[in-house]
Amino acid sequence: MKDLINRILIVAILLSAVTLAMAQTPRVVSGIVSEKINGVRTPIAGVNVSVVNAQNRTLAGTVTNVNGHYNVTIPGGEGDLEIVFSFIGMLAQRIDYSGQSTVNIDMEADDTMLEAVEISATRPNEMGITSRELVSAVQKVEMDELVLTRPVTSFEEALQGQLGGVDIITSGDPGARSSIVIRGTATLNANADPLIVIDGVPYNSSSTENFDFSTANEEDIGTLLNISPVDIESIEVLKDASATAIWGTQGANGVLLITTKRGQVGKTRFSFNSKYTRKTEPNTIPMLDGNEYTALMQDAIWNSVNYLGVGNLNYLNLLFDTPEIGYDPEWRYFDEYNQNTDWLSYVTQNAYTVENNLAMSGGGEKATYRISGGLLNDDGNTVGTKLRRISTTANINYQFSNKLRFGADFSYVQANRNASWTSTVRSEAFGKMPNKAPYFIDDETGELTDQYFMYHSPTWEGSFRTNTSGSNAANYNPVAMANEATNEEIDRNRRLIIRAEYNPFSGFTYRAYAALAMNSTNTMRFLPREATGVTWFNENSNLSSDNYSESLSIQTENLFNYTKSWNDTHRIAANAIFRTSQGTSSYYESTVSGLASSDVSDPVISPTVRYMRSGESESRSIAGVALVNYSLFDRYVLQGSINMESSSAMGRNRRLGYFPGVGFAWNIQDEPWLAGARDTWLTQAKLRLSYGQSGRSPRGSSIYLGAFSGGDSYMTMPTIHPIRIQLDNLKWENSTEYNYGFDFGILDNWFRFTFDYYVRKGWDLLQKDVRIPSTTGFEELAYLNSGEITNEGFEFRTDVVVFANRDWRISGYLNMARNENTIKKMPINQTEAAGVAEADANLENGSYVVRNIIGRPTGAFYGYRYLGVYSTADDTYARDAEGAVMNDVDGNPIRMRNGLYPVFPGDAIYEDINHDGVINKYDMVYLGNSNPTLTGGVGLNIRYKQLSVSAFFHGRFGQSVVNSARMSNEAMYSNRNQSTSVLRRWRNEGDVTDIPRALYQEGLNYLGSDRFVEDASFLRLKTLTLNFAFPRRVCNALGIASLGAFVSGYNLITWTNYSGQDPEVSIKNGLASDSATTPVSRRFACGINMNF
Amino acid sequence: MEVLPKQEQVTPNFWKSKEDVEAVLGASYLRLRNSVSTLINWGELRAGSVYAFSGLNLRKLQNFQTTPLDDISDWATLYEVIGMANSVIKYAPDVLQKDETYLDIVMESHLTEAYFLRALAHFYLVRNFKDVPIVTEPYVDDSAPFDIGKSMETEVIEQIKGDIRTALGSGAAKGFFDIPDWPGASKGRATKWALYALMVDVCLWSEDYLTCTAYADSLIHATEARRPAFMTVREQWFEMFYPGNSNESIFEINWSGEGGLGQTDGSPSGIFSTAADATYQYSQSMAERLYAETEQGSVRAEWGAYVDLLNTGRREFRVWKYLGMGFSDPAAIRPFMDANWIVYRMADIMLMKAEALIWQGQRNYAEALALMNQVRVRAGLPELALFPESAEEEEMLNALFNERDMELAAEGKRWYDLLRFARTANNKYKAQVIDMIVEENETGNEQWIRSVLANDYAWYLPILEDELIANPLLTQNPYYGGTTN
Repeated sequence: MKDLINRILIVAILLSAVTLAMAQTPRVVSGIVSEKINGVRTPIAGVNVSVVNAQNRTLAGTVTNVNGHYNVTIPGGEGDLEIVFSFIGMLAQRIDYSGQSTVNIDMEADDTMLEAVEISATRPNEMGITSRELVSAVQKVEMDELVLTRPVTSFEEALQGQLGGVDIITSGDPGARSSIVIRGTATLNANADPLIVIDGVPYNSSSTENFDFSTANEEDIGTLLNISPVDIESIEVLKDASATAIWGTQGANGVLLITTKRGQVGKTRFSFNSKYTRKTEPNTIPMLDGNEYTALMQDAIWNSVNYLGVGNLNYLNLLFDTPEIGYDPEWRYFDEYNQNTDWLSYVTQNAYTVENNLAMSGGGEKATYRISGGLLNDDGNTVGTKLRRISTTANINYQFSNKLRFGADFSYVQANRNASWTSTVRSEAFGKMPNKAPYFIDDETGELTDQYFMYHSPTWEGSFRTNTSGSNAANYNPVAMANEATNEEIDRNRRLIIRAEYNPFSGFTYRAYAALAMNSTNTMRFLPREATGVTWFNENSNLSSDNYSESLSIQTENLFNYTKSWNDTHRIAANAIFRTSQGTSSYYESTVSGLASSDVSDPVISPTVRYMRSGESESRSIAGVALVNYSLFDRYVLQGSINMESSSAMGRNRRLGYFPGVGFAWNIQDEPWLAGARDTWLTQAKLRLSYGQSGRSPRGSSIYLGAFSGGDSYMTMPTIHPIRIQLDNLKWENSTEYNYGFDFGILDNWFRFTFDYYVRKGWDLLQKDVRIPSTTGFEELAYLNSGEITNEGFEFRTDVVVFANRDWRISGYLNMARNENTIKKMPINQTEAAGVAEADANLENGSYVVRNIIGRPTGAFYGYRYLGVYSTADDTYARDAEGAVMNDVDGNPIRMRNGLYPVFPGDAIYEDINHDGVINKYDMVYLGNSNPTLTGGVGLNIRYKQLSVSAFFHGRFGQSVVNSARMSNEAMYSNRNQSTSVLRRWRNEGDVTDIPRALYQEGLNYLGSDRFVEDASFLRLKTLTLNFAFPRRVCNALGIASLGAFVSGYNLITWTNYSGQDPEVSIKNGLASDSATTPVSRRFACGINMNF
Repeated sequence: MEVLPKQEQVTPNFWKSKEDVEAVLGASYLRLRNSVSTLINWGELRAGSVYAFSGLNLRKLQNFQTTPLDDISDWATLYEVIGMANSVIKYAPDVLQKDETYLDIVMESHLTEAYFLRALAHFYLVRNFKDVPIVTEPYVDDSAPFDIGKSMETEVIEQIKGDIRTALGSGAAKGFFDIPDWPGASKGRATKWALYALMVDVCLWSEDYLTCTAYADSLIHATEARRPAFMTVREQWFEMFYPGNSNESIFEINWSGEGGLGQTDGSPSGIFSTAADATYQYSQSMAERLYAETEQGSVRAEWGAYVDLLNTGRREFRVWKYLGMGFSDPAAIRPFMDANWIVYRMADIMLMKAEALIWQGQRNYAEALALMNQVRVRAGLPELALFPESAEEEEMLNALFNERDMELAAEGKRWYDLLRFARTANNKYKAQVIDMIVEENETGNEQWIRSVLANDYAWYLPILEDELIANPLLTQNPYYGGTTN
């Protein structure tokens, strides 16, 4: 990072360098480079010494030895030379060369310590626009600070809470996808992921075409970005529409610009980073033990017997004939069902992560290079989950001449991810009866053997069931499942980018690249019979599947940039960009069952094929972007852009979309009337206004095309029927964004403040699978443009240097973002009436209704209001609005009903909103929504000499979460084990408690109500890092350039009222529901970072 | 920019050859076949001769408790029939320009089949929902609005008649299909005979008796060699069902007949069963009538229409037509060849003509009686003891509808018969028909049924709630308005 700044400084100074006389003959310059430490001059080894000409071309270079001594030959034939001394952590020194033979120099530490986040640098970007001329909100983080010393393994974890308006929810399992939402959800059915751009090339992260993200588990989807975060130099986020304009419609959800590390001119450098992390499970919810469990079950069934009347023999028989929960020493499995098993402890583990990265970089006058390799071994807290990632990158830049440059980047990343066969392992373990043993018990010793106990009583526990993806698997031995079932995904990611840059004359640049990305994913899953206990003939017996998918994308870009200024008054940067992209993907899948043995898991060997599938698809798009940035007096900036884009996913008539953008910026601090302030305290005061439009296309290619498909024959007639209506008028989903921003800095940026307010309106929303009148002969349309949604919010960030001197530096930053999402216009296929009908169907335990209603945000959910538990029989009478007991025609009091069930003491009280004595859909109320109201982060850095401590806090506030895990742990409805909180359940008439009675398979005691809705606001001490940079003396003695060692913690403390294991809950199907997936672990790491 | 998927044939590349036309026409037939289970429910349950022993929605239908939320009144499949027929009507002329092997006469013939399918589907709709949307254009893209309002019953009837006239007018409607691989092709596809039969039915429904009898005569007095003909031999009666595609048949929906019995989707052989808990069973009252015919030696009663395998001593009869093998071995269950669904056959036409004659007045009673007796005698029953000179209209009609009930038992006709009986001549016999329905109904509450049927619109089905949401131009049928729960 400091090198980058150095380079920038070099450029800046050189451009303004004064021409000097020069010597004509080759000579040698030598000298000693040192640093004053406590007044003592100490030589520094490894300082780069380069001789550069007026074009900043390096003509010669060397590095100081252990004694700080160097010799460098001055080439002949060039005048106007400078000698540049540079070293990490030091200010670069530049000496004009005027024929000296000795140059000794003292380096000085770079005191302008850089913050983790800063407004992007002053050098013009690819568009020829400097940060002064930017009209939009841009934020940038340097990754080294976030990654090198922290126990994170992915860039999402590193970015969490760093960038205002970028809401990231990470997942606990190694290699699982995180969700990134920039400035709120603005689309219902189109792709909502931000665009990731690596070194100027969009990174295609979508796995397979037509993949339905709305129903997929995060486990199903690979990581957003398969690249080692250590190879990333910096990440910039573009949020508003005028900033994302040049990235076309792919950037409609925001853009993350990733800059990878590149080689620099100078001696070959090595950098080695090693990190060792220990991950522990956060505290779990205490569950009942074996005896408490059987007592609860007997209580629950006995209550149900009474509920239906003793005449109902089903429950009575269940109660007396179920040896699993009764005491029957004669029963063959008596031992196995009289244990105290903490199932969760069998499927969780303390895990370790080891990460090592080695990079080599350097370069000469003509070429620079960087080669890196990394290895990550990340074990998960759930048994059987891990990630092993090998990442390699190589990039080379070659300067053919001052006018022509080439570059090539190559990267290969292979990620082997082991996940659980089913995503329900943890919840199954939570709910497993604790009196059951995971293994058979040795009759003689009474000890557990190593043989899995596979028995499931069909009447009590139920037989194994699952869908093919395993997302709803139930009734199995979770220990066997975690240990024996496999789900291994091998993801191979290859990227090759070739670049060229040509400057035929001053001010004009042509830049082009062609990028090729190949991705192949092989998933092998095997479900052995040990885990399920099914018979050999069952369709799930020794189930094995192989899934192979492959995608190839080719992208090209041609950029023409012209930059010119007149008299320091007018400056113009004009750009024309032309982009194409083409992607093909294909997959093949086969699933078989009935393999002869658990040792044979290759699906080719099987007798029973359950299914085979394959498919392929292709998509193309082209885009042209024109952008002009004009600045007057370097103070007033006006920018206009237009993006024209065409995609193969769009209907024929509306295929081409036009998305304009305009922006204005005013650098107020440079106004003449502020000259006084500027000279004394005002560093920056900038006002930004921007407006832009953007579009989204549906997923998949050629989805708009009508299609025919063959069917059964009728008599001798083969039949073909239309299956889709052609969507010639399918439009781009459109959004318009207004952004108002203000940047403010004083006292040389000791205090900096950035504020943005935005309104983003999306219209013509893409509605998927829209029901249409069946009079058309079709049930639904693939897509329809309808509905309107807005996101409105603000972000601010402030950076403060509290105190700094030579030894001390205390600084901190705070960022916060608020987004409010509102549905403005109902999609025509969804009416509020439909929501009510749906609610009617959902008067069932445990379900909430997610409704889209005008004026409410997406993810608003509805349910009942929980008022506690009916304590006595008197309480159960229905009461009218005045609180008087309602009587029937015979004058007898009416008993309240929950749906069709009359209530009894011990049952749940729901608020009878309409006072009709019945709890039904008319008593549903708005319970909350899943969007957080406020997100943010706070960072604090304290440095004393070589030692630095940094702490970072992340918080999300106001998200309403349905604690499904608690619901299933307190429902007392099924045979699932329950948490210890049910020990305070209602048991006898008169008990006053908040937990209803146990009632086996009867009643409506856990309707979707506010009882399980919790405010998941939290503030987390995300990272706490102690870093020690070894003094240069030590480094010199060791012959290395720099060495740092650190210890750090992750997720150390969480302040929250949320009762679940982890308040970080992502939204699935419109509802933030915590179903006990792997929580983000608590981690401790230590490691070293070394440069030599 | 155009990327064509590899798994599907896309619309822009379709409609290139005559095979495309024929395949979509085939799909229209196939959709009609898919709707057979619906046609059985709609045609039988409310009448009560055949009732649903189980199935919540089926029982709600027969108890006149269907709500707009019950998908039993889903009309989607019939509109799919119409949609595909419309595609054929619209695009076959285009294909004619592209495919040189597609002869004009072949195209015209395809069109007559499409018109028949469109008319038949509309006719089922108008009889079950009264006012319904008329769809005559295929929906292929999103250029036209999808919302469409209802047309009055009279307009729908006119549309149906117009389609039949257009089809017959071209002269391309075939008398028979000569397809060697499928001997019954002339019954499985729409011939001109099928068009005549449909016209008879439509005219009877719309009380256009002169046209009705005229078209009936085109069938009854046809002289062509390969015409549908009333089979007079008693022993042949069961051949209509096994092996099917009999001489008497005019149009019947064919199943493949491959695989075991009840193996192909939706065949009556799979829908009807002889089990104790069979979904569809004869009502007690119907069973008594059927038993009485057995006593008289009718071929169409025991081992014809019904079977009494349970022998409980009570009249617990199950539908047998679609399961047995016929006269020579009455108890044999057909091992394969799923039964076809007969839409029109000659006995039906003769009885419809008889009905038209009766409605026209006493002077025609003799001719009507002769037609009815022809059907009775074929079954092995004595002639009716009615005297055309002295018989009352109601007597004649009762005899006629009873005859239809017996002859066409479980053939999806009974409800339309009763509805027609009740509504014709300005609800002249509505009260009597309500009595009949109440008498027949096995599962409902008498007062409820009487009170519901007092409303003329309750005789029709509600439009599905989902349909109303998707199509704002639709209005709920009057009786069901506001009863969404």
